[in-house]
Amino acid sequence: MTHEIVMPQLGITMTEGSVLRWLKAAGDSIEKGEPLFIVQTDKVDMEVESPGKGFVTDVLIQEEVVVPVGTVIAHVGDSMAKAAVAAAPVESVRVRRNGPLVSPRARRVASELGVDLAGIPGSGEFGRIRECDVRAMFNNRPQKSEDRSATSARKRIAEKMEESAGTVPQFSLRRELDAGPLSAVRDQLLAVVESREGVRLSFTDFLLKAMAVALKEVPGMNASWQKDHIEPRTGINLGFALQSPTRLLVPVITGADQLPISRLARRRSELSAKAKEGKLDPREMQDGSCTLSNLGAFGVDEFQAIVNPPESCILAAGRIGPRPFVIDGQLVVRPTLRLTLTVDHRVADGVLGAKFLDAIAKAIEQPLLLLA
Amino acid sequence: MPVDLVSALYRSMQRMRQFELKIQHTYRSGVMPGFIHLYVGEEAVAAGVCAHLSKDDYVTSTHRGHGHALAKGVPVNEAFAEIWGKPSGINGGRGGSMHIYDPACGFLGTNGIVAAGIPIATGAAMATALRGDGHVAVSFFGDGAVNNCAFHEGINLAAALLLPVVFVCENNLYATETPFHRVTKNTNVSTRGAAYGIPGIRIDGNDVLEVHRVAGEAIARARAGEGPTLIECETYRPLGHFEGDPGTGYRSKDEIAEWKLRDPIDRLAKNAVQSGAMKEAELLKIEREVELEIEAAYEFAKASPEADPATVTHFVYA
Amino acid sequence: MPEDRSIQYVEASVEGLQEEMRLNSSVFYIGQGIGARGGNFKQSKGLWEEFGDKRVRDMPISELGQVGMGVGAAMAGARPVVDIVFLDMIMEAMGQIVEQAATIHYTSNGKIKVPLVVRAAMGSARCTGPHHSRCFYSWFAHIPGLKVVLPSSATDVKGLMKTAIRDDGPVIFIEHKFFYNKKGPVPTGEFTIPFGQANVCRKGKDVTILAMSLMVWHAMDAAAQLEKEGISVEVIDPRTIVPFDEQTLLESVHKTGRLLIVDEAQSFCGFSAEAAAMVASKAFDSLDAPVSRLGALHTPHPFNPVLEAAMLPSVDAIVTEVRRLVAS
Repeated sequence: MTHEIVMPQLGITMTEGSVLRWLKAAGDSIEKGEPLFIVQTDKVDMEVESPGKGFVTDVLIQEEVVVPVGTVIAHVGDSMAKAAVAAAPVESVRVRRNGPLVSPRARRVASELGVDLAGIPGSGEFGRIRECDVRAMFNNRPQKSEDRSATSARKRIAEKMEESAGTVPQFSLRRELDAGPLSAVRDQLLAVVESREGVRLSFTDFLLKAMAVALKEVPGMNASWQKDHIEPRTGINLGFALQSPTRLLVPVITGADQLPISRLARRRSELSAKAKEGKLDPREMQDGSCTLSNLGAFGVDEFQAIVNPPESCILAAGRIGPRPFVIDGQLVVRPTLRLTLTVDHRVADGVLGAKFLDAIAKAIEQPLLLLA
Repeated sequence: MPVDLVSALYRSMQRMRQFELKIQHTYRSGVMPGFIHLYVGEEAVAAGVCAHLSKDDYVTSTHRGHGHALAKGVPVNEAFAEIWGKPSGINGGRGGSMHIYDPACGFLGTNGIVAAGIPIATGAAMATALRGDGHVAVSFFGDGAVNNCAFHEGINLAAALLLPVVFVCENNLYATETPFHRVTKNTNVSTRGAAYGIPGIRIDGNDVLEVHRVAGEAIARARAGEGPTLIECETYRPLGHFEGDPGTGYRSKDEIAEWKLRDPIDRLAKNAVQSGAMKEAELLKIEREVELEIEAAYEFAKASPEADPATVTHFVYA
Repeated sequence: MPEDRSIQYVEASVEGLQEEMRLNSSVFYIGQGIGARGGNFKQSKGLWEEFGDKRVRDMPISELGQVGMGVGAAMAGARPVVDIVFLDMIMEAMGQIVEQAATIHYTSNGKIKVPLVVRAAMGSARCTGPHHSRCFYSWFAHIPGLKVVLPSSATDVKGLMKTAIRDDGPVIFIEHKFFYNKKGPVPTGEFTIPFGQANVCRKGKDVTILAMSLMVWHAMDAAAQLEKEGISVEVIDPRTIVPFDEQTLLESVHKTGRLLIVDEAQSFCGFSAEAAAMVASKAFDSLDAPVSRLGALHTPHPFNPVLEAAMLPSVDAIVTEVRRLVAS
């Protein structure tokens, strides 16, 4: 016998409903009492069971289509041969092929889009793959090349951090600075730098400049550990960490000491843009003396970064914000900047590191020193 | 006996006879496709009736219609080629024996469907009546057609509408192999006219002058707007139903022999000579002329090339 | 643009006849009860008054004779219209249509034309029963040489009637009884509708419905209902089965990927099978679901209204089938 499956009345106020999800497809076998679909009304989602054992001979509405209560939405029959229903469509014997059914249109579209049919779930009758299924697969395809690079980039970062953590003995030094003078100078220079270089001067630029000046003052920090000796560097190249859409990148500004801050800002901006578009040349990420990592924009007050070998150190900057500060024995509220310098102990001891950090601090607290 | 008429009728009948015999001969040699139904023995009917018709009058015919075609004016060469299936035939070889059409002389077709031509003739008459041009239509059919609906409906309509059409039944006593009297209670076809309210007359179909006289009256009536007439011509085909049928399986040799004695061409010749209307030599001359005509037609058809398959899709729609 | 008036389908068809009869004096009209009575369905109303017995002549119940006469008259230079009234009765005249009218132009090698229109009404109009309801128009489509016309609107019936009468070959002109007294817009002024040009009655993008005659109306009703469920249906009325506008159908299937053919005639060996085969062959790579057909059940036509309703495709059945098609 054939059972008519109708949109059920669940509760006296229900006048219409939809199938939230078909749990069986046309052609599937089903047991009496086995859930066939989930009904969705404005009040409730509920499983509805098959009234009989047999096959789901047809499915008459799609999911999420709202129909009145009592509408016939499917049939469950003894066999796949449908009983004669008024003006029923002509039943033909469907020759079932092995393997997934694919509509000719889906096949054509898959070919045009270069989508592999294998593994596409078919939403059509008998699990047929239809055009919409192919298009869904195409639209949700993973970005293959970027994934690969992300994977290998991730691996590289992981490797580097492992190396750093495993082989580089590191120690950290902290300073909290009054960032008031820095803010003031930045404010004064904003307009000029904007008009001259077309970029917005940032705290990162000042920090980089400060690091450059500091490296000149404390050349001992401009070196790297090479297996068994300290190798001094020529040139002051500073890396600054930034997050592209997919990964961490550290572009390097070459000869940062020779760039006035406005030019350094522009260079920083250019490299940032390239990094975000994934267009950085590998040579633009090499040969850094040390790196600045500024998480201030993310609300981090202070943090400790990991040295990026073979660099000598890494400076972690936090958020500039109002904090309690002591000036001349008085407790005041100042905008402060917390810096944490992490040093490769093989290149520098605590005192050298402290001197370097001090040079940076002075340049920050007395920004005019950046001109010297 | 009017000489011109006799001469013309004789020529017409000779043409039909020799044509049919030549067709038979050619067909038996195996080069002609399809099948054919020969008019031999019935020439007087076609000759006598068609003598009254112009090219603007219409005729519908039967499967045994080569005689009607020639008598109505279908060119002999093209008729021969058509039966042979050659593209030089009057219908490009596409119709053959049972589908010969020539609107140039009002010949609206031999026909593979028995009796189908009867209402068609009525229709042609309707067209001429509408135009009021005084032309008529003649429907030829056999005894096999008279028990068919088309006979009944076609004649009734012609009678009810008073159309200018004449219905000529060639009763040769057999429809294919079936004797007429075996399947018909009232074997007097002419009496059926009364059923439709039209004159019905039965005549000796092998007496061409009698056919000519009666047909003339009927055709004149039609032209005058007095409506249709049914003429039953008693005649006979000494040959089989179709070429390949000996015709003796269902008829006695005596019967055939007896009718051969009443051959229409022989009868006319004899009467013409006896009455002095024509001399033997004149008749012979006509015979010879027709012989040449037919021989030329045969040669014409024989020399014609075969059809071009590419033309198969032409003229499906007008 | 000429203005539209709202007139009955049957009035529109009579207008078409009238206009052509005025234009060409060789056009005449015969059939049962079509004279003073104006036809069983008023399908010749006014013609006899205008043209008289000479050109509008009542006939006895002799369909074979009538059509045979039509053939002969057409061969002899007239342009007859033979009104069979009920399509079922055309059976009596099939020999003259199939063996004579359809073949003569071809067999005569183009020498003779048969400009004959045979007109009849098909289909069910509330229990007209087994002898007055058939829709076997596909039989004529099957015969080379015949054109087959199925107008489904007042505008179409007038425009197509004029084209039919002007056609130089035999045309089987099949109206639907149900349409006769239904009003529809018809432009004023002279216009004809060519054969072989389908009408896209409704544009859509999810499913194509090819429907004939009354089923066009059902398909439109179903489409309106389905629209509310977010299913966009394109409805195509071929208007003429021969010649058939393949291009419009194929383009539609290229767009939607799904085809439902709705026919009041039986599906088995009916015209819907031809359309389905055509699409399966020529639009194979555009099909996102198997071609579906809805037709009358494979039974003779019952008189009983409940049985008749069960036999014929309904608007509900169309809606249900479209939903299934979209889900498949």
